[in-house]
Amino acid sequence: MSFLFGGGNRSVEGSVDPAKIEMAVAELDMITDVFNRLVNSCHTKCISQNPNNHRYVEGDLLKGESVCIDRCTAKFFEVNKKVGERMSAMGSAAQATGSFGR
Amino acid sequence: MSAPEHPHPPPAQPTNPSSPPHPAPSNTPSPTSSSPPNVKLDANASSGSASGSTIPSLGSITQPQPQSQPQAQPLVNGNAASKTKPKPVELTGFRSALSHTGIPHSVLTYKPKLPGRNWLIFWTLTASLSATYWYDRRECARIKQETIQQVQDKGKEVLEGGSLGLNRRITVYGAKWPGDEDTDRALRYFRKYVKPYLVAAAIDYDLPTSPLQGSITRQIHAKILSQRRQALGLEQPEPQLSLPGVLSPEEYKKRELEGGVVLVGRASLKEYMEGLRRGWMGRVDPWKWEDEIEGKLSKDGVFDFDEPKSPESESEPESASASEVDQASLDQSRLPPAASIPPVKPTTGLGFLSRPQPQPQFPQQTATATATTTTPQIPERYHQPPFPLPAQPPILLLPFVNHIGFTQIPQMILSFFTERYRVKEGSDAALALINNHIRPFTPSLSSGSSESGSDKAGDLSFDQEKEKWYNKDSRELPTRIETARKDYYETLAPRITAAREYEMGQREMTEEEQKSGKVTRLDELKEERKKKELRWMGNLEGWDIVRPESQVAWDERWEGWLSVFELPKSKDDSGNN
Repeated sequence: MSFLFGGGNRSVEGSVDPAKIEMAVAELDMITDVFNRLVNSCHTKCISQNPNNHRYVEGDLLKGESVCIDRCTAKFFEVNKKVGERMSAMGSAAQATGSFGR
Repeated sequence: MSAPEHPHPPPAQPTNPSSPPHPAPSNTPSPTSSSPPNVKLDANASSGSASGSTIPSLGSITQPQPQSQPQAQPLVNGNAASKTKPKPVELTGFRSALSHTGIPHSVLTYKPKLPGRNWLIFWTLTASLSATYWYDRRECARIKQETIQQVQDKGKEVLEGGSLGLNRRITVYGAKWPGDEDTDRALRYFRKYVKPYLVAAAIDYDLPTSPLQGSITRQIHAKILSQRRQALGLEQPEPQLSLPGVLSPEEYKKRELEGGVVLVGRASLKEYMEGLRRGWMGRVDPWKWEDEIEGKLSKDGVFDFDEPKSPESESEPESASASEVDQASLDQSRLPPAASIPPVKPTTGLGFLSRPQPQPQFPQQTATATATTTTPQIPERYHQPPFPLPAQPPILLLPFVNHIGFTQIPQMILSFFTERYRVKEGSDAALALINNHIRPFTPSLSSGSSESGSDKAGDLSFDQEKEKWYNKDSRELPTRIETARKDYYETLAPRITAAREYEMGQREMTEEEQKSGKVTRLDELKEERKKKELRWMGNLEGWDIVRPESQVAWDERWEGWLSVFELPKSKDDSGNN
């Protein structure tokens, strides 16, 4: 019985999995993408402001850099959220009217 | 350059840059041009006689003409046609010597003279204005640069604690300038004149917004109240996340004390101090501003439906009740906060039930039976302000004035050209903050005169002279709100009646409502009214705090409690704007 149920369960799992895994992968991709962009922009802004003469003087984070990164990250997520809201609003409007109207 | 040309022209004309077109020789025979050759001949007589000894005499008459700048001829023609030709200027002294070097005659005879009177006025004004502007901005840049250089080393220190370390963090309160619709002015002032140095010195800053007058008071009040209640065990502390980098309440408090508070302008000071008084000196009953307003609104009877009235008769008691509300709010804000809390109890009691509250340690022993049994009884001694008062972060008083309105345009223009004084003030303030120059808060001159000079009044009169810039609009705020409220309640009454009739099934949807497919419900009306009342009451309460006639909140028990950042004394001479 247990063998039967277990096998059945496994087969059910196997049949459901691909879609979910795809979603999970897409989700992960998205998060990774967001993270990479965040690191990119905040590194450019705070750590290597002037790439020509910048060098890592200290091994550790400096105070100024830390404040900058804090604020940069907060700002990034704030903007991300706002843009996301705007996009979803536009998307739902587009679905309602049938096209991306202007 | 032109000296070697002289031998050349007669035999080899093409080498002379001005001669190739040869328009002049054809001109020369014309009767109108007979006079210009005279001028030129006289002018060139010396050169012609000097260089043209080998030239045939006929050539010496015709040749100099193309040399003598054919493009000048039309001009000379015009002059000659209109009036008698000016006598050629005799060259004297060194000029006559230089005349042989090929320097044009017009250069040698050039005599500068002043432009006309109007041009002089124009140039003087333009030059002095732009010079004032340029000097001002250059000074601004210099002050900013110097200050940043002074402090930027602090930003380049290694952060203790690695990437989880925390920087000093300050909180900046910028109150709404009375009469200005723009609520962000004070904070923008901070961002423009103080922030750059904080960024350089790696000090983080928090900018809470204050959308209404009195918002700072309410924010501070709520914050202090929850601190007190948590300390007394009346309220559960915020749930702690067990993550790295999350501070315990003690660490948080410590960090806050190390940080500091920036108050931009006198209005912020008044609001902040009033918040401190309400928070620390008031009672510890649960309080939430929205609930307080809602409690007031629920009692004024605008939405009572026990006697169905016609809209006309209903509007009468409503406007009366509206003015009552107004009176009540005015009265209440004048009363000490301790007295303003009790009417809130019924509503806040309901909110109190909705979330679990820990019982105070001694709830029932001293409890006397009162009417409001829904709230757990708080012993009377809990309402006493704690002694000694917990330390507060030091305060930075940043002078700020905001010129608005037509009549203040001269001041605006003046301030446009005196930006440097504000940059200096901002940099001084930032330096005091960054270097932690702290002194005790001196409420008035009498108590603090020992160490401060004659130019420095007490901190309670900080920026007092700036209050005269509050414009007429700000003083009329109560009447304006009164009018708006009256108008609103007049239009609200029929809407309430309509909504109630619909909800009680006494009427069908009207045509408009059927078209839009939506009927306004009573709840929506209540919500809408609450929003409006929050704005009105909040602004009124705030205006009562910041208006020039009311004093900054102060209590004798506060002596020696607060501290401020010491600004350099020499800045007072820049207080002209």
